[in-house]
Amino acid sequence: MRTPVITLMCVWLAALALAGCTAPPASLSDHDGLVHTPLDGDEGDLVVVVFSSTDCPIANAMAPDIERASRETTEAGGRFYLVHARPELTAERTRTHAREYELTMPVIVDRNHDLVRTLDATITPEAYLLRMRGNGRYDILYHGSVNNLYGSVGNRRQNISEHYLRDAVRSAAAGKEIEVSQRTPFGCYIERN
Amino acid sequence: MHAILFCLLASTTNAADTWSDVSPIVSRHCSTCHHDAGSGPFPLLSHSDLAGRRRFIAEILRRKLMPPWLPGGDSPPLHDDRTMPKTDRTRLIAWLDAGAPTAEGTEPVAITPPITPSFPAGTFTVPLDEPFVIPPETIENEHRFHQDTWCFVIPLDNEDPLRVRGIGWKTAAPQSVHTVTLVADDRGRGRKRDEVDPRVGFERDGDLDRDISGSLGGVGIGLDRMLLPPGFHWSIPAHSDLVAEVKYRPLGRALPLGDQAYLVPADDVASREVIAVVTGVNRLKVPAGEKEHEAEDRFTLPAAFDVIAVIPRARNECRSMRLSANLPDGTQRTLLDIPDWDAHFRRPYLFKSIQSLPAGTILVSRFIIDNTDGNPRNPYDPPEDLRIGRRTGVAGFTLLGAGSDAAASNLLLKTSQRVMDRRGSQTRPSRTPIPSPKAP
Repeated sequence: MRTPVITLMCVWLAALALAGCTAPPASLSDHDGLVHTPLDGDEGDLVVVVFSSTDCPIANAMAPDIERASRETTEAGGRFYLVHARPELTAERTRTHAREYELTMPVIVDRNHDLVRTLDATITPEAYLLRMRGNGRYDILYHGSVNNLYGSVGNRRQNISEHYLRDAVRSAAAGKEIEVSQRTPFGCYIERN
Repeated sequence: MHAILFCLLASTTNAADTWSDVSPIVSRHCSTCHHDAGSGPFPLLSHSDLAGRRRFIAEILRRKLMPPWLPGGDSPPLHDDRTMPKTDRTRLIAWLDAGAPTAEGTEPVAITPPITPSFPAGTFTVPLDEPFVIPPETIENEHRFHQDTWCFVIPLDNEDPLRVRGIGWKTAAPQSVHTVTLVADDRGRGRKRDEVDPRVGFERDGDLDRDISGSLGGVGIGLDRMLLPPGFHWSIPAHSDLVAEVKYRPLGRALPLGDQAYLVPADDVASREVIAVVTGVNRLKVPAGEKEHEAEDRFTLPAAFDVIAVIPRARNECRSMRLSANLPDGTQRTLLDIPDWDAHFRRPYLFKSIQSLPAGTILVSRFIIDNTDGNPRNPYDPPEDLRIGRRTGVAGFTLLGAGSDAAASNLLLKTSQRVMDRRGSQTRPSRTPIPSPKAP
């Protein structure tokens, strides 16, 4: 039974690769009131979206590496967004969290789960590296874990030795193929609306 | 047959459970650490605290990652046992899977945060005055990612020896600091290490020559004190420092440490002084890729030993450990069995009843090391050949207890230290022998 499912997924991914994904242009405010449309952009734009949570210990432990990925993305000319998925979060809470964890990228709260549903995010932290095709279409170049700090929930490495997202950003910025485009993310579930 | 099965299931799960039914379970097993000032990363006090994380919590419970309690197998009864009964676990998971329902027409009542009991009267507090900040991430240290550990010297300025029946530690970073072990240092050994390290506190473990880190006991996650049973005390020589070995887990942000140590004076003049007997493996040689390397050590007790507590220690490559006692009458007794070692959740384990081991008992400590990349806690990626030696042990058990009298305790201590010295091929100054009580 497993083989047909995998075949169907491959067909679906291949179709996505040809046609790209299309998203409604979700407009979301950050805690400073600035409006962002993460999935809208010019053809060729690199965009990173990382779903996170203010109190997920796994997402928080990766905050310094997420910040490094953010800086490298913007240095490469791309855009980087940290997206909180818990609807009850206030701007004050996300601002405090960003200050405590020294996060400098735009931080937005996806209260209606528009981005969560569009990208089909399930976990925090969960990273998406996108290449815009224009007109709201994009390709997913990398999806999954930020790094290998956690081998699974409850199994934490002492140190990060593989920086999956940062490596993917570097490869994409250099026009190189991303060796592994999908890594299982481990973390806290997003409870959907 | 089906009817029996149904009855069995019905007795352990109840699909109609609501928040008011399961909140006592949450209060008992989760809220003790998961409150605003606790060691848990988020509070678990209100219905929404759980409902907003129901799949995550259900997975953690299913995989038995929480509540954290390492001993299993046939370990003897231990104080503060956090084992969650199967019925509680099953009911809580079923309630979460059912969408965390509340009773119709009622407002879910939040659990009252637990009140940490105060220390006994007469306890004195010693602050850690050094401005140490826990870094956001692991720093590459002397032991190369072994464990995040930092040590501090806390002067006691005691003119006279102290008799202590309890120790405690309150941390300003309870979610990060997971183990603190203490050594009494009357020779300035900690100060010397502190002086040569230009940073706040000093790196390396808290072993001081023959005094193993934890020879005064320690605390662990959710455990802010260690109180000895009646009839026992620790002795702290005059003009001592406390050397604290603080193990922490970086949380992604800088956390200032503003901690305090507590000492609970002993008032029982007839109590016995607690000594630390160490048994374990001093050398490990495990090739990269070896999945089940077994390391074993045997230590024969030269005198009867009343053991009150045991503190395990091992590297992150260790998967499981077991300490057993082969008694002279041919029987075997398990003292501690940890089937899934996770250094993060280690703590001192106090036996509910004293484990009296006669002279001639062989302590057998056994460790399984997994040096493959399939071990997610292996700090090296890809795995490296593990070749390590350490006089005070690279994986071991520190047994706290006392001989029947001062002479027996001194013999136990001397033999344990001689074994360590022989393995380490070096001799260090002996600690002051325990004085025998003066004749009336």
